[in-house]
Amino acid sequence: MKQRLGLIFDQERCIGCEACTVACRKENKGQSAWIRVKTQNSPFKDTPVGTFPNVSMHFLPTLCNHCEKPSCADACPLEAITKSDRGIIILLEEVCDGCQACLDACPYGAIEFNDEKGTAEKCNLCFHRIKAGLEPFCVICCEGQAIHFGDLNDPGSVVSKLSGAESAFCLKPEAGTKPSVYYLPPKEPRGL
Amino acid sequence: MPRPLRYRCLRDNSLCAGFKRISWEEALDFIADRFKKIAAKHGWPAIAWVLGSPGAGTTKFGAYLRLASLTRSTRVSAWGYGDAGLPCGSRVIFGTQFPFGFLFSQLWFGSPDADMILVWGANPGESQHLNLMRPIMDAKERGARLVVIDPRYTVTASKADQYVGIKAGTDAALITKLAERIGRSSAVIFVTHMGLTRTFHGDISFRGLASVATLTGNITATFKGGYLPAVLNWRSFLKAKSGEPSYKRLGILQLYDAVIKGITREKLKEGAMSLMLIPEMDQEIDMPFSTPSGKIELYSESLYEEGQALPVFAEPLETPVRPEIRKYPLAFIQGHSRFRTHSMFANVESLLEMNPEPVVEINPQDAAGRNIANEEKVVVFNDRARTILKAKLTEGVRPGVINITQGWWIDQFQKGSVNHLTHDVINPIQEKVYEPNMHMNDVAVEVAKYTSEKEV
Repeated sequence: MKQRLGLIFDQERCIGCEACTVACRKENKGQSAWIRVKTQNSPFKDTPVGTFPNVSMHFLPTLCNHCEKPSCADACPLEAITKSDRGIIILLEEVCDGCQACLDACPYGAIEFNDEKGTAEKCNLCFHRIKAGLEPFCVICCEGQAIHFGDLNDPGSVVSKLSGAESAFCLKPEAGTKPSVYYLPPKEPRGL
Repeated sequence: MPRPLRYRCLRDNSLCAGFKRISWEEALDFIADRFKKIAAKHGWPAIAWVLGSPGAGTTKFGAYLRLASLTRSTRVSAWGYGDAGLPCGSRVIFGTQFPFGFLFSQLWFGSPDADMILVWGANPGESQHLNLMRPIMDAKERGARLVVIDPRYTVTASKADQYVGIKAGTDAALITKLAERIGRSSAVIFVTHMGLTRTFHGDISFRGLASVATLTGNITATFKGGYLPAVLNWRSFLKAKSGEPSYKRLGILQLYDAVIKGITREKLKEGAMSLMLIPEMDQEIDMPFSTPSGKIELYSESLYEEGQALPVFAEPLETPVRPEIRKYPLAFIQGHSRFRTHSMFANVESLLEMNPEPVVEINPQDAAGRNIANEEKVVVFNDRARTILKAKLTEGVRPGVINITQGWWIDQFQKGSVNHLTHDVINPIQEKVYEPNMHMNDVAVEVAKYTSEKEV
């Protein structure tokens, strides 16, 4: 079976440190970060919701979802966005003419426009590292050990098991793009 | 990237830049010559080596210490600039400067599963010890309850099964009550750090927490095999006999050698190496307590006259426990930011993109009473200083507490800084036991909307 490489983000273990963001900037040299950490349900970063001391704070790293049905690729008039045979959605900067149709088409807002290069840019799952047998850089730099990488089509893989968990979810499933990025929710506090 | 110094410069006030570039040879000659002159006049002990934070390389510590040792000059302890709340309290109760075996070594070096991990006045999710967060979450996954006690709802608190948003300055009072609630059967791992101890009576709070650990049977005094517990306890090394394992295994120099042994430039080229190459042991070692009684001292006879024989709550120096009667009703604390190591990396542009400027975190309830809106410019002040910066309204701090993360540089504030607001009062009891503590988490302030430069 063909590979479907993807990521699992464990919100229980994510400490919102943004090491993934820094790692991505250093590795991919994007004009903006291709992975960002949001503070869930809060309009402000690192700010809990609720009223002290009954508060909660959870982090949600967001990036390209490497969808099985990528609406960005459908929207691109130049075929600058392609799906690799390992399931990675790759944006070819050298083909992109900067029309930005993909920015609007992506339901996740995961594509950025680089105004210096005049092209779109996004997470390519560190394809250059994967080709060299390495994991994406955000995965190995994750301080909380919250990111898992692997083949979702391999029933024996960790990501396959985790994505099959009852609590696992994808963002905006209603968009129908079938993401390869899954999340595991934070655990409820158990008290003393 | 950080902007390190690229050249050796000598201060020369006759130049308009104030510095001139010199060679390594000139720099080393200059420094060595000064040392010799001081030593000739006052003796080598007149030269003291003070260590900062080893953010950019722990091995620098070794170079300092080795040189201090070889020249018989003075080595001021790693806490020597006054960060003595923890080691001072630890000396009283355990006779050791840093009770690693008690604090959290179980998390680093493995131990039977804990029932509870109690994080008090520490935030390993964002600060020291960041690498503790992994074993903490591992332990939580295996069933340990995570309890976090802090006036700030930190990242670590966000992972807690039970968060206790303690009133600032009342830690020792709560600790005294805590012993009654933790049964002897509970295996608790204690994680504490400077949030608790960088207060005027930080040593008392530390002793209190260590007393709770002792009374509930959570002090590890004997190690069987496994890794060496780094009990940095100089006095016991001096007393130890050379044939005994405690001397052979616990000598600081030997420990240090073990830490760096085998790490060479050539090997580092092949790949990363761990600093913790401490050999495994196959024997049982009793941890030495070098208190006057040779035991853990919940009661310290030597502090009887000072009224601190037992670690009972003492009123903070400034933190307003009863704010309604105080001129400066807000407790000011300085949490640590994940974007810096103290003041290191405060000028790194890629980090400033994510965390551009200092802000004062204030609870919306306190802000409303002062007519302060989010992101509005405010003045944080007391009799010592006025510091101007933006307000961040957040339920992440308890009402009555404000937080500005430490380490920002002075020129990153519109006026003032965090430490313009602090004080340098010396606690004479700490000085008697060890050395005085700095207590930047024991400061009272008021916050007001910034209106015009005239008022500042």
